[in-house]
Amino acid sequence: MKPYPGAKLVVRMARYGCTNRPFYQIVVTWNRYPRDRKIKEQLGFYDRLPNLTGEQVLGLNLDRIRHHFKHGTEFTRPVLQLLGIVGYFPIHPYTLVEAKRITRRREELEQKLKEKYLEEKEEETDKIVQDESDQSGEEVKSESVDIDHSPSTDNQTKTVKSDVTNLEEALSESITIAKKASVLKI
Amino acid sequence: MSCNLSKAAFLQTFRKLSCVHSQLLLLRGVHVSQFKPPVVPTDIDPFPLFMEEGVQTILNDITGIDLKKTALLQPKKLPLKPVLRAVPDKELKRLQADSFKKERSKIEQRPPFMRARKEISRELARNPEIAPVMTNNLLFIDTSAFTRSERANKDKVVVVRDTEGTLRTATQEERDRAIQIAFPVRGRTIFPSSFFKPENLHNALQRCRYSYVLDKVCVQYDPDHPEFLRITKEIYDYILERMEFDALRGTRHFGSMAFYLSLCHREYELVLDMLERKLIVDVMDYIRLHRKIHSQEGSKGSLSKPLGYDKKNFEKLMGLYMKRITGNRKKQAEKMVESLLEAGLPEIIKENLSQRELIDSYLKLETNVY
Repeated sequence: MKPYPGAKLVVRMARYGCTNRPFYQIVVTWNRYPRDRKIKEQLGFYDRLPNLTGEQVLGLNLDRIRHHFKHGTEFTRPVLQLLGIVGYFPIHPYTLVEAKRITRRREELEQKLKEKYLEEKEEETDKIVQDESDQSGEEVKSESVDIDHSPSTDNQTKTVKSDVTNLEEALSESITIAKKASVLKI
Repeated sequence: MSCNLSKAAFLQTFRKLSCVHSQLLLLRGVHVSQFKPPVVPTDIDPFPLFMEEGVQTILNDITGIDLKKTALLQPKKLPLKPVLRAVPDKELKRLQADSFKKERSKIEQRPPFMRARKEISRELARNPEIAPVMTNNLLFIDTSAFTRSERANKDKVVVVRDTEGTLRTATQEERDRAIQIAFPVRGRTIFPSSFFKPENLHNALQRCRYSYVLDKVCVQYDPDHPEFLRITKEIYDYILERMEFDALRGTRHFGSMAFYLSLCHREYELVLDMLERKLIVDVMDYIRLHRKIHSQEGSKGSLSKPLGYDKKNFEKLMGLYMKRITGNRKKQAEKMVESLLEAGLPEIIKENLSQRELIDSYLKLETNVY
């Protein structure tokens, strides 16, 4: 017996829990019913936030899921994604899309941080050069042009090499800090 | 007195202790160096031995049934009003039989003595392309066991998807946690409480609460958990050091302790204790069990048939047993046996057998409840 004409059964996540603390029950309901109420059957649970041991916990009644799948109930995308991650179904293409998106965001973050770091370095070197010129202004003018070039070029290559190594260290630090600070999966 | 108990606590424990040996130790303060903890042999597989019918009946007989002790050991609830009833003799017998049967069923739920479980963890799939999505490990448990007939914990499927993207079966610790989340056992915590830390355990043991601690350990861990084995070994060694076997007699832990001691070749103290308390029939059964465990055939060899419990067989068994003991112990044991023979062995045996027959008669009585 259908509760309303055109009713379809759906397996989806019902959000329980509290403000800023989600907890999902994986549930079979009719598609037009409110998200959390009037469920037909509970099939499992999903806790998105990591517990004390740093895990996300998922429990599913695979027998009943199989039964509903056989009888043609609709599964929403997040539920299918979870089933794919667990290994009961093949991996959903949307998880691959998400993975790509996250890697792209990470690379953009790295780029931004790189540019910022280089800018800061340039400012510092500019300052140093200005200070040196202020201090030894007369000496630079009196000496010939050749002598000026060689030490400065050496310094530049040295600074570039050290820059690269320092850059990597500083980048890794700032990336980890950014990862920790971000709420999204970056 | 070099123990760290207050005066009142000291008196309390002194009164609870069941034998002179332990009282002396408490007075003197325990010397750590003199006691050698028993070592479990690795060549004998204890579990199939333990679960044999003959072994279980012997352990049941040795434990006996002590209703007073179990009434004392109950956890303290709100005091109930005492119920007084006038009851005919038949009815009284039936009620007593009920309580005996209940006790026996509790005692038969003794924790088996097993080896530690092995780590099983194998890889099922490798998908590094999902790795960016997995910020934490995903612990998955299949809850379909609610709707199925098989309920063993080993059959439950627990699987973990790593942050690297590899799908693998969970380690034993992860399995325990997941099974406790989805199929909770009453009294068990997911993360072990500080009750089982060595300092707190020692505190409880000092106050002679052996069966209380053992019950808690049985609730928290499965019998093949390495922590379970470690804690029970500690408790049994503590009891062995003080020869406090009577504290467990009548509880479900006595059988496992007796089995453990027999495995580690430390059954002598228990045999002495039994001889002191004039439980001759128990001694004969226990020595039979000991010979069975350490026979060459192992689990294939059958228990020697229970010959009649009389003086001749007792002397025969004790003779066989004392071939293995040497030195001081032999003299001690011989003294005990001589004193018993002087005191009148057949009467003591009769008494023990009548006790056992009483228990058996109660257990066989037909009642409505059990």
